[in-house]
Amino acid sequence: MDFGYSEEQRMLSDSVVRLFAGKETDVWAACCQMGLAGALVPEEFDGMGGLGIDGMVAALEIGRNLAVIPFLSTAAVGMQAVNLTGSKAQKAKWLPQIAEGHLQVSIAFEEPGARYDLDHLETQAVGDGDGYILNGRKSVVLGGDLADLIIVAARLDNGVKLFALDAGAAGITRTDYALTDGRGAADIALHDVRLQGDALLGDGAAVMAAVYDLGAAMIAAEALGALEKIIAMTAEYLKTRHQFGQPISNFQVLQHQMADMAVAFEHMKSLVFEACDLAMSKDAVSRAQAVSAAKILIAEEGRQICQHAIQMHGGIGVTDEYDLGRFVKRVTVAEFAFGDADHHIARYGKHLADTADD
Amino acid sequence: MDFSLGAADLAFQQEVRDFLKAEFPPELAAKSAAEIRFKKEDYDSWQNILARKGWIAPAWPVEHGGCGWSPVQQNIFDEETFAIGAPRVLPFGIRLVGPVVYTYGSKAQKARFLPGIVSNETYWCQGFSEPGAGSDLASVKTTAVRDGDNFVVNGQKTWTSYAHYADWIFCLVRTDPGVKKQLGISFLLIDMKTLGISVRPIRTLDGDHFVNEVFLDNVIVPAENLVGEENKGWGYAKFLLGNERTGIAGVGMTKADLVRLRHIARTEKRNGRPLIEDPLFQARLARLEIDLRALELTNLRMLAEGAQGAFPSILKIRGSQLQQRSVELQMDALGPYALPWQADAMEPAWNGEPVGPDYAKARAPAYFDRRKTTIYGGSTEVQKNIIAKTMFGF
Ligand SMILES: Cc1cc2nc3c(=O)[nH]c(=O)nc-3n(C[C@H](O)[C@H](O)[C@H](O)COP(=O)(O)OP(=O)(O)OC[C@H]3O[C@@H](n4cnc5c(N)ncnc54)[C@H](O)[C@@H]3O)c2cc1C
Repeated sequence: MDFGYSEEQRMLSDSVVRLFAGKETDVWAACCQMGLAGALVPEEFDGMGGLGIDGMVAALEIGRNLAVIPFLSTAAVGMQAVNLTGSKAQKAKWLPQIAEGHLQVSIAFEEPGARYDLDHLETQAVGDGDGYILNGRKSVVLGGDLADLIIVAARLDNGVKLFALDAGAAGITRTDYALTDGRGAADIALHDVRLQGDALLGDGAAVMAAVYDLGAAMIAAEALGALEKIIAMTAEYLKTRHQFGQPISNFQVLQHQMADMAVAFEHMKSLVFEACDLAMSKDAVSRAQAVSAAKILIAEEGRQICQHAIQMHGGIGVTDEYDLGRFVKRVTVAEFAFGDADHHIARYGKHLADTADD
Repeated sequence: MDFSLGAADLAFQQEVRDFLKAEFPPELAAKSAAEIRFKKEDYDSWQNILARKGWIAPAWPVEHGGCGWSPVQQNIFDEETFAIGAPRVLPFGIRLVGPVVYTYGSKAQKARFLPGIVSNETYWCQGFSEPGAGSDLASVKTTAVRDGDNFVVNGQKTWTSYAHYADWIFCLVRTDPGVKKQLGISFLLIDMKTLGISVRPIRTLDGDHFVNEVFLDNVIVPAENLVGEENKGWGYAKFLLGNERTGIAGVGMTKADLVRLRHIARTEKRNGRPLIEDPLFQARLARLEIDLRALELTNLRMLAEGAQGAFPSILKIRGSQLQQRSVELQMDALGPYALPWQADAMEPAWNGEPVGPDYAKARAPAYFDRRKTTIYGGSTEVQKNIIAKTMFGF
């Protein structure tokens, strides 16, 4: 086993840290210039060919810096959806553009009422000459407000397929909005959207789970970065805030609370590392179990860390004028995106029930 | 023992229901159902109705214009009003300063200030906390220096809820800097229109504005506005905080929150079935309902026993936790539609189209807003210190 970064990962991490420390006005453009958009794109399509841990290196810094950039939507899940289903020609068309930062991609898997269940799919594709016609609705599409290309899951005949839609195509209605942490998303309605034959990427079912797991792992890593900041900010605040003639860090109950936060953090860190390591694995079962495990801790114990951090700040913790809330909101989004705690507990538990003891 | 409502209480409950049916304004009901934020005019319209009926001060003695209701009656009233979605009665006059005035104030002060509170003409705010005096409230630095028939007040208050609505502020001020901090504090009533007072809004995590900073710069306050004795203010403040903490249990409000929660959980689906049938969710919902049941009975039992000692702290700790857990579970019930931030859609002036189900918009803001409940009115940690001291002598 090896819990450290490789030489390349260390360099990637250092350069991302430097980038966020700088005063770039267009952060995403700068990220693309250093290759971040293509961090996970295979080398044959002009990317860096990175895997889950490489993605995590970036995601941690994104969380620590509260960056609002389409790394997760485009460079991770959008890219992976194309990469896992596209033909050679389709990949050659889109992946280099992603790697260069010229194309933003979002996945539109979830539907109203589906509540994270990817099998709950009502969007329907029907053949229409050489092409297809799509009808359906998609909800809370991350990055959907800015996406150029939308990867839509739909039923075709008896199977589930992924289609790549030009976001500007006729029949697509987007309702754009901001999430709690400020990143953009959209609800998308598809009404008789006509597609060319080459818009069909490929089979969806297994790929959707893989892509979704990558998203869950990456957003867990973002949250881990934010939580690390939250803990550091809170420790710092306790040392500087005085009440009763002393720093409030003198109060043992607050010391123990901080200690509890550290205990929780170290354990979720281990699981997030493991989840990211397996996030692009082809072993669907190990991947799913590791990702669900990490996501559960982020959603449950991460939430508790946030609540205790606010509590220990007192009044200042509930104001919008102080940075803590922005980090907390980042974690809150990670709790609910790509499956909430109950979704992942149920998935993890179902697997335990379904497998024989050995 | 008897845990059921007696005939008199049932009759009272019916009387309350009849009154609400006849008098609760449909506009407020609609706003409440749509989760549009109440503004000053909404509080005003409801509190005027209560004032006219003589029902604005449930716990006050009748001689001061109150209802003199028993704890059980107060609980019934709370529950019924929250259930129909009425705005809560702002506590600063009725629950906080009023009882201080009728308990410790002079005859002249009672005559001057109490009628304005029960008639809903005067809005109050609470000027206790300062940037350097939160949990350690006795370290307030705002000074009041005697100058003939006046005090000259200088300093800063913070977290002052609804200062922007208020006509008057009741303040803890330092009148003797040379003694042990608790012994140099006075309780002063200050007209918000006095020269030298300025108010700056503070926005909270839910995007709303209800707390403020209040700056006092050479504010001249007539000495007749001093409540009780000079330098005895800490005792009055402790009396007030005890009342504040019991009021903070919020049983009626949490009950209404759970009704909403069950509605959401019946409407949302998980694996094609109503969420309320999902075992994981159901277990958490049941646990919350059980804790609320325990709080309600404990609240009544403790009020019947005289709400003394550590009781207010016990009610405050559990009551505030349940206020948080109820909105937390409401948010969890949404799943992915917990993600869009739609606090603006709660503003009366907003006229867009919210995303997701109609109950989605208020959930994340409510979750963030309720973090305050374990902080204000004396934080949970401070309440635990009080319990350890008063119950166990630690
Ligand atoms: C939304 C809101 C509305 C408010 N409205 C009003 C108002 O209208 N009027 C008013 O006067 N005040 C108001 N307050 C202020 C409120 O009473 C204070 O925030 C509260 O007393 C805590 O003080 P603080 O914020 O300075 O936190 P601090 O006292 O700095 O506390 C920070 C942390 O340290 C902990 N701590 C402090 N001392 C101890 C100790 N001895 N042992 C263990 N832990 C300790 C606290 O529990 C907390 O977790 C409001 C606050 C909020 C958030």
